[in-house]
Amino acid sequence: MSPERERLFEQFAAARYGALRRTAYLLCGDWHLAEDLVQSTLIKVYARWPRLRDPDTAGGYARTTLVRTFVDGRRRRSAGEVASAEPPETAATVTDPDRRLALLAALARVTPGYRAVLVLRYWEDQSVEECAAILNRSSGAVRSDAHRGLAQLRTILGDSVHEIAGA
Amino acid sequence: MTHRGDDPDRRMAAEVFRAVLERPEPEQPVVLAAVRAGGRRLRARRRLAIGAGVLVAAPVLAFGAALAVPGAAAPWLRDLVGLDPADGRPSTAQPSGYGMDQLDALQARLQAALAAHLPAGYTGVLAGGGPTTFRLVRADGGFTAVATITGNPVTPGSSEPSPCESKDGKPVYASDCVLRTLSDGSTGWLYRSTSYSGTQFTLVTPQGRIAGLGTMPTAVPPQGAGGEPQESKAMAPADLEALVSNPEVLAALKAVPLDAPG
Repeated sequence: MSPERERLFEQFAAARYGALRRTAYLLCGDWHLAEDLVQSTLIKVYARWPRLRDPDTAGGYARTTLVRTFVDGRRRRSAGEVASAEPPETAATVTDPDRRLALLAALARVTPGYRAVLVLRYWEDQSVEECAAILNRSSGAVRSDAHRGLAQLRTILGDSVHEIAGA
Repeated sequence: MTHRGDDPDRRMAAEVFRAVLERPEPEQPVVLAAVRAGGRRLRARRRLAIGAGVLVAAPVLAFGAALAVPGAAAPWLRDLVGLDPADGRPSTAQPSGYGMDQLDALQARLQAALAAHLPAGYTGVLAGGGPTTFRLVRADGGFTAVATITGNPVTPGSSEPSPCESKDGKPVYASDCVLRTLSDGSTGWLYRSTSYSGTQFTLVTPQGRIAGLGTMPTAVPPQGAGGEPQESKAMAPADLEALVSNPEVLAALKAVPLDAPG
């Protein structure tokens, strides 16, 4: 790759790293895993970089790559597991000192596929159609997963959902 | 981030996300050198995948004879498939120093083992979305995507319950479960997935390691390689059993570490 393209990639990586890591953290709930996920993403973006000179296009490609890498990894890890369609019955306790950790634990208990949809819809602010394109799924499936993901989150949070929604 | 509308659900989700990120973030690590090294290796691997496609099509294009003899391939073809003219093996880029070389070796071993023992009706093996996922090329032109299975180790000598039976009242997503014992003493469940059209063969080795192979609903090309995901057809349970039971394939599956990426 030419020095100019290398420089553009450096600029892109520096500008986007923080946002990508935050999204990755919301997906996997661990900063170290998030950094691994972002690094895997940037490797794929770098490999594609000669054909991705428009930073806007690169940003979308990076977001798609990040989420798909997360979802694919979870799918493969759970291939031998018997999945639970129902959220855990115990509600998370949300008290002030432990609020962040409790919410993080609650988020971690949302099914990973649903969590990916929630992060895309309500953190990345992507439309249903954009989510569908990123996840390579139908719009109906995305709507359904968003609905189920929110229902899981509400169940896990229990009574504290009213406090959170009103914050 | 902007959050449109006054939907309580949207507000709840956004508030959860904002709250869990409320803390000083860790310092950003220096990753550029590793990214560059990994990206270069990925591009090399993509060229190799293109080469595998050429090898599958080679008989049709009458290039088979040229590739059949090591070192006899035309220079342009050697370059296309990533063959080193010195020894006829795939050329490799510089090691990245953070495990990519081990991943490449793992991927190559799995791909070679699968390619050598494909069931009837399959013509080749292409890389999938990650180092432990592959697209088996079917004679009808379609794909069957497969992924290795790993899991937390269990007590040596123990066996796993049937995935067709509910545990603690949880829903069951498997049917046609049959218990198999392989030549190395591994035991496992061969079954169909009921959540999508797929087949799985999950094993417990005598040492308590979890290994196996399963088909996936979508055949995804490597990231950045171009091409769209395609529907993956399930493999017949008998074919999956024969493939996984082959000693070379079994050894390669058992070598997949627990934390290998998909």
